This record gives sequence, C-alpha cells and structure tokens, in this order.
Amino acid sequence: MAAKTGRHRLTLSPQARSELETILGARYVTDDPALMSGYAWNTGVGKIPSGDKFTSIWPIAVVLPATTEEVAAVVKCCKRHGLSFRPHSTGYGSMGCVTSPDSICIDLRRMDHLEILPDDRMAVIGPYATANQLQAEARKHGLTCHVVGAGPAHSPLASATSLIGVGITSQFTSANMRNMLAWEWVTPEGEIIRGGSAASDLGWYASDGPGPGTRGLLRGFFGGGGGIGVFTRIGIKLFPINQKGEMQTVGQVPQLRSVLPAHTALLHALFPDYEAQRAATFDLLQDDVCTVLLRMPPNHIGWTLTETNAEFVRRTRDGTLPEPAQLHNGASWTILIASRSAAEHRWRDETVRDIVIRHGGHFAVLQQEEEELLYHNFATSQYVPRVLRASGGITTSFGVLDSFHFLPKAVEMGEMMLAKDSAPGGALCEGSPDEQWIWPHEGRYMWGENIIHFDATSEASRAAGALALIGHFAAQWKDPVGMTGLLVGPIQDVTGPRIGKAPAFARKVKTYFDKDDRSKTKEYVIPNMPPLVEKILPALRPVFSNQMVLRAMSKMLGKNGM
Amino acid sequence: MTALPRGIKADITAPVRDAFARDGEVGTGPAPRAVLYPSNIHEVRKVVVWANETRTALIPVSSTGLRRRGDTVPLTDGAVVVDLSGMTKLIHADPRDKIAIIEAGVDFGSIDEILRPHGLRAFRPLMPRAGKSVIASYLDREPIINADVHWDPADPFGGTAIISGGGELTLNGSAALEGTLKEQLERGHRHMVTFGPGNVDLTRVLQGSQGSLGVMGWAAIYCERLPKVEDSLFLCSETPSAVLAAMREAVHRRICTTAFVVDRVQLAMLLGLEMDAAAMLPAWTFFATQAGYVHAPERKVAWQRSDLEEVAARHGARLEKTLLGTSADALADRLRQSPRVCYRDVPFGAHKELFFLHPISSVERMLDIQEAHLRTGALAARPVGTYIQPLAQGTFAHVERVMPHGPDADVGADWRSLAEASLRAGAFYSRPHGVARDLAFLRDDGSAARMIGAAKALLDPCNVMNPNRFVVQEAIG
Repeated sequence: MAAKTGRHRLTLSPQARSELETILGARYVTDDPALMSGYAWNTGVGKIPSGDKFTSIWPIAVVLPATTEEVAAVVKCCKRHGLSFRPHSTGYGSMGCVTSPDSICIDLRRMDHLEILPDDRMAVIGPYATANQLQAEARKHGLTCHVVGAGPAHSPLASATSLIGVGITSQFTSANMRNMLAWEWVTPEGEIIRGGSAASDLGWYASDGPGPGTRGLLRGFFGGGGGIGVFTRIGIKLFPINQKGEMQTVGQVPQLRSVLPAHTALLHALFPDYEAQRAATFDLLQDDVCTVLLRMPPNHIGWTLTETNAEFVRRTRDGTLPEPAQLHNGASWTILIASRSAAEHRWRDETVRDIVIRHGGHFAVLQQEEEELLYHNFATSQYVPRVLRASGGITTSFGVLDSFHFLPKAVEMGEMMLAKDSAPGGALCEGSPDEQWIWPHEGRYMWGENIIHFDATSEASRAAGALALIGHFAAQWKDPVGMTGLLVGPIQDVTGPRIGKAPAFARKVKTYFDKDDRSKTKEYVIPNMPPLVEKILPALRPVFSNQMVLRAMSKMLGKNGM
Repeated sequence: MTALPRGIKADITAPVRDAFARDGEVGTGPAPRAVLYPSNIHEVRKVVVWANETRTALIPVSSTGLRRRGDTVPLTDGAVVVDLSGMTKLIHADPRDKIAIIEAGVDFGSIDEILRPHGLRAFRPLMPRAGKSVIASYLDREPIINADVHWDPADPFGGTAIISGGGELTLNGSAALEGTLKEQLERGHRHMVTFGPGNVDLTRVLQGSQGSLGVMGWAAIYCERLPKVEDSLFLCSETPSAVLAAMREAVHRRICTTAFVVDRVQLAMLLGLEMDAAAMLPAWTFFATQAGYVHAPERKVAWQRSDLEEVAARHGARLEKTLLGTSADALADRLRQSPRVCYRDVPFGAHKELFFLHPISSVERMLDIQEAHLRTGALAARPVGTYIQPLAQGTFAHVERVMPHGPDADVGADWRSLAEASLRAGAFYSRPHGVARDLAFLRDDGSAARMIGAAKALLDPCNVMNPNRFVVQEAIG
C-alpha cells in the first residue's frame, strides 16, 4: 500500500520498501526526490509536454534490477502491494515516464548485456545496451545494427519490443520489429516467458515457435509501449556493411564528419516535382541498387549542414545554403551506395545516375565536407539532435506505411497540416511546412513521418503542435495515405473496427495478462473499456474530426500536456 | 447431430470424408462428418460462426493432392473440414510494387502462370508439389529458397484477412484501412506491410498454428519480378564447411537470389536422378542463382558472378556449371516446376523428413552428430539427404534431413531416434510436425505451452479450430 503525500505524490509503504530492498539491495531502491526528478523530466521529445519542467506525475520509487529474475520479483512485489510499474530502458524522451502516481519505475540500466555473434550476424542484448554501443561492437565485425530515428542513444531492445522501430536506413537494415529474434519477457504478473529458440534454451536466433508466432500477441506495429510487462533480453539481427572497424571521423561536434569508405558514394538527387520523384523511386527500388534512400525536408538538411541556428538563418537570408537545403528542392533523395567491389560500385553508381537523369532529375553538387557530414549522420542516425535544434520541442505525425504511390500525397498532406502555423505569425516554429521525412523499407514500401516543431515554453505553440498531431488523424480518416503507425491509446478506438479490430484484440491480450492493469502506460490500448464504450467510440469520429472540437482538445493538451 | 450451415456447398459422402481421415504420413484418424467448400471469405466466416454456435471442430484445408504431416487430419470425432481449395482468385497483382493478393486456394502449380501476365512470380519453397496452397505454405513458415529477400519469418506476407477462431474478420497489417478492398486498391493502397495494426500482429500469431487459431481467407504476398537475366551455378566441395562458408558470405552480401546447400543425396533427388547416381555427385553443393531484373541486368549478373567466384575461391569451393549432364540453369528451371508427386517420394515411393532450425555457424557440428548416430543404427545403409536453407538473410538456417524409402519400410522408430538425437544436439523444432510433434516441446521451459494456451484462449475461445493440434493443447484439455 502507498500513502499520499500531496498532489500526485505517494510514498512507498515500509513493508513494500523492505521487500524491494530484500530483492535488490537497499542501494538499488530509492524514493529520494533528487534522484527521482531525473525520471520525471518533461523533455517533450515525442510528446506534447505541459509548461512545467517536470511531469505532474512522479514515480513512487525507482528500482534498478540487474537480472530478469529480479525484474520478475519486483513485478510480483508490485502486485502484492497494489502498486503499478513502468519499465524504463534508456529513457529517451518523456515516453518512459510513469503515468500513475502509484507506479514504480523499473530502471533497467544495470541490464546492459551485449554479445555479438558475428558468424550468425546477430547480437543478444539487454534493455540498456544502446544502439551506439551495439553499433560500435558490431562494426568490429563488419556489421551494423538498425538505429531508429531516435538516434544512437536509444535502446534497440525497447524499439524492437515496445515502440515503432523504424529508422532512416530501413532500406537495408529493415526495422526493429522485424529484426527482433528470440525474446524474454516478464509478464505483468511476474512470470518469466521466453519466445522462439530461447524457450528451449537453444539460443536467441529464432523468433517464433514451436508452433504459432505468439510474439504477435505482444508486438504489432506499435509495440507494447510499456503496457504489457517488461522485456528483458532479445536476439537482434545485424547487417553486413562494407567497412570493418571504427568509422574514420573528422571535425568536431556538432559538425562531426566521416570519411566515406572505398566503393561508397553519397549522392543527392533533385527532381522537378514529386511525381517525377515517385516515378524514379519505383525504379530506384528495383535490383537493390541503393543501400539507403532518404528524403529529408530541405530545412532539415540545412540544420544539419550548418553549425548553429544563427548560421542557418543567416545563410537562408543570404541564399547561400547548398542546393539540397533550398526550400524549392523538396523533391529529392539523398542516396547512399555502399558496395564491396569496384565492379559492383560502378554498376550501382551508373545505374542510379541513369535513373535520376531519365526521370528529369539532376544531382546537387556537394562539397566534400557536406558529403562527409551527411554520411556520418546516415551511418549513425544522429539526425534527431539536429532536427530538435530548431525549436527544442518536436513530435511526429503520420507514420504511414504503404506504396510509394502515396509519396506526393504524403508531402502535400503534411504541408497542409502545418501550413498555417509554420508561416510567419503562426504558433509553430517559423519556417517551411515541408517536414515530411520519407524512406523505403526493404526495397518495397514507404515510411512517411511528418515532424512538428513547436516552442515547448509557449502554451499557444504547444497547442498548435497538438492540433497538427491530432488533426492528422482526422485528415487520415477522411483520405488515408496508408496504414498509420502512430495510432496509440484512445485514438485507436476512435479509428474503430476499420483498422482490423486491433484495439479490441489488444485489449483482450491486456486483460488476459494484466487484468489489474499493473503495467501502466498511455502508449497502449485503454484497458478494461466497457463494451458499450468500445462500440460507441468509432461513431464519434465525426465529432473528433470537427475543427472546433480539435481546437478545444488541442488547447487542453497545450495546457496540460499529453 | 446439428445441421450444416446453410448456403455453403457441402459433401457428406463417405469417400470424400474418408479421404480427409488420413494423409501421406499419419495413420487413419476419425473421418470428418462433412467437408464444406466456402467460396469466399464471407462464407468462411459464416462457417466459423456456425462452428462456434454448434461447438463443431473445424479443420481448415487449402491444398489438394497427397497431404502430409498430419495437420489436416482430425484429432477429434465429429469435425468438419473447411476446404478452401476452390478459392483460387487472384484479386490483384502489381509489378510496380511487386505484390499480389491471392485467395487461400491458389497453389504452387498455378501461381506462376497466374502472375506471369503481370511480370511477376511467386517466392517458393524447395520444389513444392503442385497442389500445395501458397498461403498454407507461407502460413506454416515453410522456408522459401530466396534467402536474400527473406528478412523475417513473416515473409513473404503483406496484409492479410483472417477469420479468427472466434468468428471475427480481422484485417491485418496494412490491409487494415478505410473502405472495402476494392476501394483501397483503387486509392492506390497495396497492403505491403504484414505487422500490426496497433499493438498486435495476428498474421504472425496465425503462422505456425497449423489451423488451430483461425483461417486466412486472402493475403497480399510479396512477389519476385520476372528476371531479364538469370544465371545459376553449382559451388561444390567434398566437405560441408567450404560450401557453408561460401553460402553464408554470399547470402550476407546479398549476391544471390536462390541460395541453399544440399548434399549429394538431396541433390540427386532434386535433379531427378536414381539414388545410385548420387555417389557420382559432389559430396556437398551450394546452389546459387543470380538475377538481373530491370537495370543493366547483364552487367549486374556479371559483377555478382565475379564476386561469387571470388567468394568460392576464398572458401575452397569449386564452381561447376553442369553436374552429371544437368546444368545449374536447368535445375533452376526445375525448381520452378511443381510436380504432382513430391520429389522426395520419387526414388522409392515414400520418405521420412526431419526439419528444424539451427544457427548456420554450428550446423556442421549438428550434421556430424547426426551422421554418427546414423552410422551406428539400423539406417546406416540407407540414403539420407541434407538440405540447408539460410533464413532471415542468413541469420539462421532451416536444416532438413530426408530419407527416401519404400512404402513398406519399417523405419519409423529409427527415424524418431534420429530426431531425438538431433534434439539433444540442439535442433529447434519450430514447426512441430511428424516426429517433432511432441519432441518440439520437450525442451520447452513452459513458455511455449503458456503462450499457445493464451493464443488459443484469445483467438479461439470455444476451441473449434483444429482441436488438440499441439500436444500442449492436449494437456490444456
């Protein structure tokens, strides 16, 4: 049981504390406000924060288990004492914060297992092995990992099990929901369950079986989001690259660059319009000719190529930004070609150039430093800090996956959502409404993600960010550009049975494994929803699509955060 | 006895029912009380809803011809077979996105003909028989031979439509969109994503479930463009290590489309040779195909060939274009044919199979243990083939042992002994068929049983779908 000490703060009962200390040792249990403040930091990354520096809800305590068995014991202890819990891996953004005042934060930073199995191009990792560490170790063997958009500080285990898992190199490194191999999971009741070959103590290579691919109960497009227990270890697929060992970096942060390895080229193709880019894309996806394709908004390229915001603004006004960073050059691909032999590279390079020219495009002239800077960010996915630099507050929308048929429309709809408030005098970060990041997955389909920049210190700006975020769901209901990956929480239910009854089914899964909702989060379905409400919510779509309702909800979110 | 659902074609004649009481591997089980033939997914749903109302066990079947592995033979009395083999529509095909949407009854004997006008062909397992349903094969995670595009065990599925055991129609992956399928296709959606939507992935759950959780009515499947240039090679050696190392590197570098390793017995079967001819073949062969689809295809295949030669030389494998008069290109063509009779039955009329997953890095050790076991047992004089298929782009392998034998040969106990020895040596029976039906769960720490129980409770609460398919379900009762 817990006692209330004030608004949104509870204290741990002596009995619960004693049991946790017995499980973990006193050193690894704390409710010291000075330490816990680090777990209530309202960064706003990936979410709309409130105006406060700290979230309104703090954990009742923070615990640091070192083993799966300790995690299971902590979860069982929570159950005995009527407490909730929230797993926390590397804590990127504020999505890892607890969402109820009776929640224990299970900080998994002591579980940083990292083992590379180079011959089988895979690794075995714990929740606190970061992408940066994994990539550094993998590179020693000529391999790399998939780094999601959040960048090298993220936990690949968390992205594979619990969040979306996409990143800019998905053309050749897939996405982490598909890179996850065998898995280990502590249920919300404290059972330890392993999946695939790990359940038979036969290693961490096979994700499914014996029999059904039951991982699909726990991990769909979005992932568990902390709402379905704690994932503690996984096997993860790695990807061969054309360089072994450390990257050869030059320059200084933030303009760190990397020298391109042999048989590698970084090209920036510009097209006359999005139709031409789409037509070229279908050709560029044949024959596995490109290693990476990334469409960045021109402003974002500008933020990457300039050292400071002041330089970016000055060069924008001077008109001295390089061609890829000029706003009229949005129809573009940055293309990485990484080959192993001279003949291979010649074929790839000439083929790419031929396709681009054939579709009316041309190549921007990049200085060597610019090329190396873009390559470094490609290889390490360091883009997020660059994109954050403009405003300090970002969230993301769309998250669509479908055919590249939708490329022009994705850009158009993204701009439509941001046009008013990104214009001078608008409430969002002033600049271009073109914020759509686009890249292919596995040589087949498109991911499109529309970034929203807002001033985290301004309520009006936060409200405008919220409007762009929730407004895009309404726009997608009316005219979808693909399956939407960011459908999380109540928005899934409003979207309704047309998305395949997924929320209702996920709720069944939640009830089956966590009937008391101990594994508490906002990044999962709403648990224990009465069937009547489940039925009514989709009928309210016209209400939620109404501009007045959207504005009222956005104002509320801008004030209180989400 | 309850009446059958109205409006669904049914057959209750004894010969038809009895045909489903046995297959090519399992002995006779209880005959179903009827065979139903739904013609579309809505009729499938009607059947499943009826089964829930009447508590009737359903056995979904999509393939025709001689079935094997026992997963379509009822394990309970009074079951009804749902035969989807008549659902053979190609709903959509699109060369630009290399994807097609097919119904459950489309089989490997017909799919390439159906797709050819669209410039596409299907990803195939190793020489499937003609009547094998494409969707049933993918649902069973049967390995495809195209290692370069096998990113994940869910491949080659895109979005799907499933009727859960509870009778609900679920649209999965990127099929979960506004509007009817026709409207979605007209808008330009191509159902290219298999996972999701939201927090679950029911396609993945249904894979490997052997009809025990639901029925897939249609699916979007990734396809291969018809290549403009295709070139195949045999890379040979007298030890497995050379060809395994070469294959692993080639697959990791993605310079082959088709890639697998076989021993001489397996290769003889694939080439359609007498077993006696196997001795004249190389002990081990890595079969590789390289393809150019659109862009300067000759040049693409040329550099890939050059790189493959370099890989082969480094690992000590020799290149052959022809073996015993059959060219590698001819074998590639043969692999795209679907014989009416399983190629493994051709030498002696019947065969035993054993397949499991294993890391490629240690597969040779596994083979050594199996060979030692075979040498000392009653099977010592019999030919036993080996097929090693890299999966997930060479992260691990499907390992298959095949023993052709006469229909009357009494080899069951000795084959099971090999399966047991393999389990002890680390075989992961991810697809519990045949002798592995119970062995697959012997090493389970309880997790698989727990999760299968959960999946069954959540998708098929009335337990109407292929009851007792898994031994751990028998325990659940």
